[in-house]
Amino acid sequence: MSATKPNDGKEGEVAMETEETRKISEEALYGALWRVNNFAGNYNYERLMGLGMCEVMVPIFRSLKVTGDKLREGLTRHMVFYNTNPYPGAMIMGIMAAMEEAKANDESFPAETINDFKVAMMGPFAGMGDSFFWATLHPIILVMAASWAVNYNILGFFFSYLIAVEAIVFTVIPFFWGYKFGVNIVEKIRNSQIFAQMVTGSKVVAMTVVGVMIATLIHVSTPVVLFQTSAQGSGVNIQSVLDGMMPGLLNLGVLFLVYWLLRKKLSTVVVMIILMALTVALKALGWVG
Amino acid sequence: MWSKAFEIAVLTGGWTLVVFNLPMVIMALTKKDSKFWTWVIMICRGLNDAASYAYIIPAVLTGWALGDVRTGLYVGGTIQLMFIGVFIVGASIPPNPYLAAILSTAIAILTKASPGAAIALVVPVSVATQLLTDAFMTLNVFLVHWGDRMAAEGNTLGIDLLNIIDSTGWMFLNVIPAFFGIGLGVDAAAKLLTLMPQWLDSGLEYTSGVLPALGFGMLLLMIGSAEFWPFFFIGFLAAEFMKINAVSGAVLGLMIALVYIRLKPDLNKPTTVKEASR
Repeated sequence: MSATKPNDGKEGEVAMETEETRKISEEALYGALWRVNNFAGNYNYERLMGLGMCEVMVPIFRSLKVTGDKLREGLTRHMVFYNTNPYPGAMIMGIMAAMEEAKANDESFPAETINDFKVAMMGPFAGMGDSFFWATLHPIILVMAASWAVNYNILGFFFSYLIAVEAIVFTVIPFFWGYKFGVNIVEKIRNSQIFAQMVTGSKVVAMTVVGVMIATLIHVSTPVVLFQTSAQGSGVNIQSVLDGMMPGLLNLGVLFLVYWLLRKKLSTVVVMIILMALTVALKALGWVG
Repeated sequence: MWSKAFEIAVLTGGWTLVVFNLPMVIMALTKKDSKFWTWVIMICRGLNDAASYAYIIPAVLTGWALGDVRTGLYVGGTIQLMFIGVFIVGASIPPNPYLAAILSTAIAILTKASPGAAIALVVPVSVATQLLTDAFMTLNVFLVHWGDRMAAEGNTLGIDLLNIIDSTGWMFLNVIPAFFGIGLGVDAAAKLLTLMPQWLDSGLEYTSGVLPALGFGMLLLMIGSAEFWPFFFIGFLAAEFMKINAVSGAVLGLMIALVYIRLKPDLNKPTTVKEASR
């Protein structure tokens, strides 16, 4: 940083030693990494992942030799409200480590920037992460696993562990990228077409898979026969009429009934109870089977 | 029964105490971090994370402990499908069927009830888990204030230990009720199930084939938009008329996606062309 030359004399050497750039050691970065995974240890209604964020900074401050008032100030700074999706959130934590490193080396680095950045990023990252990981990638994996499992195929159990791979990969890589590239990475992601393509593409896959699953995993049919007379083979079988229109029409009907109830802002549990009551009643009446 | 209950409690979460919470505490206490143990923690944590999202895993582990993996697969898979669209968005805590997956599997196996009847348990138990989670998150508010005081004192070790020890609560939240539920509840459940009339039993059996619609409905509410609904119907029609299964459905979806992202103008702005040609 300073332009001190080695042959400046004793005073210069002393100055160089004190101004030596502090760097987070590799061990400390790994220490931060497993703490990143512990982000929700103290998930609470007031500050959500606040303490988790603060814990990540523990090895960082230790490695940067931040002590005394600066340590107290730093730890308090990271105790504020923090909530985001854990996977892209790991990137925020990596960027935080890079920013704390910059601050430890440069007194004039404004402390507010650190929290301002964190607060500005957690919302968009949560939205992005929830819709990509929770609402798209997990369902694709889990639907496939479950479709095996309900057919008693053990592959469903092992395939579920793909989530573990995802959890490890999408914590480790974002964290180290966040630390390495710092704030710049956010702009890169924002402008990256590949990322947008991935999000759209995975939604297409998820929707297609859900369509397939509605047709194959929901089992509704009706044995009702109308206009039955004593003659053999008389009467109108409702199921064959429906199948003639389009196979799986009842499956779609059940799905859209549920969808409509959920759109009415009924909670999951209420819809579940309605669905149970309805099927039990209809089954007892012999209308479905 | 209690030894089986303990075995299940260990398999479905108790193991994490020794495998990764202990190394965490040791690293926090010695204030020395190790690359090797970080990887051990990351991998075991990943396995545990998978279990907390994929309810097939606790169900199959329970089935394994009780010697009936098939029932575990069926119950776990059905619960998975019911809850496929239910996850934490922002800070709202939804009903969580982790404990329910363990208990339903255990009851289905131990009382020889139909899986459908055992799955009827999922509603009350997952709501109970939701309430327990709420209570735990309220307790955590007090602990975060303790953390505030530690931060003001610059007590890094205290913050470390507080968060590590607090994190075990998420495991105990499921494992302790599972232990007592299996130890005490199975006989009661068996009695209850013998009282169940035939029409209710067969009705609930039927319900388990309909409940996946709920999970998919939730999911479609999240990701369904005018842009993406057509893909749903492509998948549906392909399955109805060509009888494809989940895997070929995913491959079909992937192929459509690869074509679609090339054709969508928003995703192919001129900037990329420039970057690509550079």
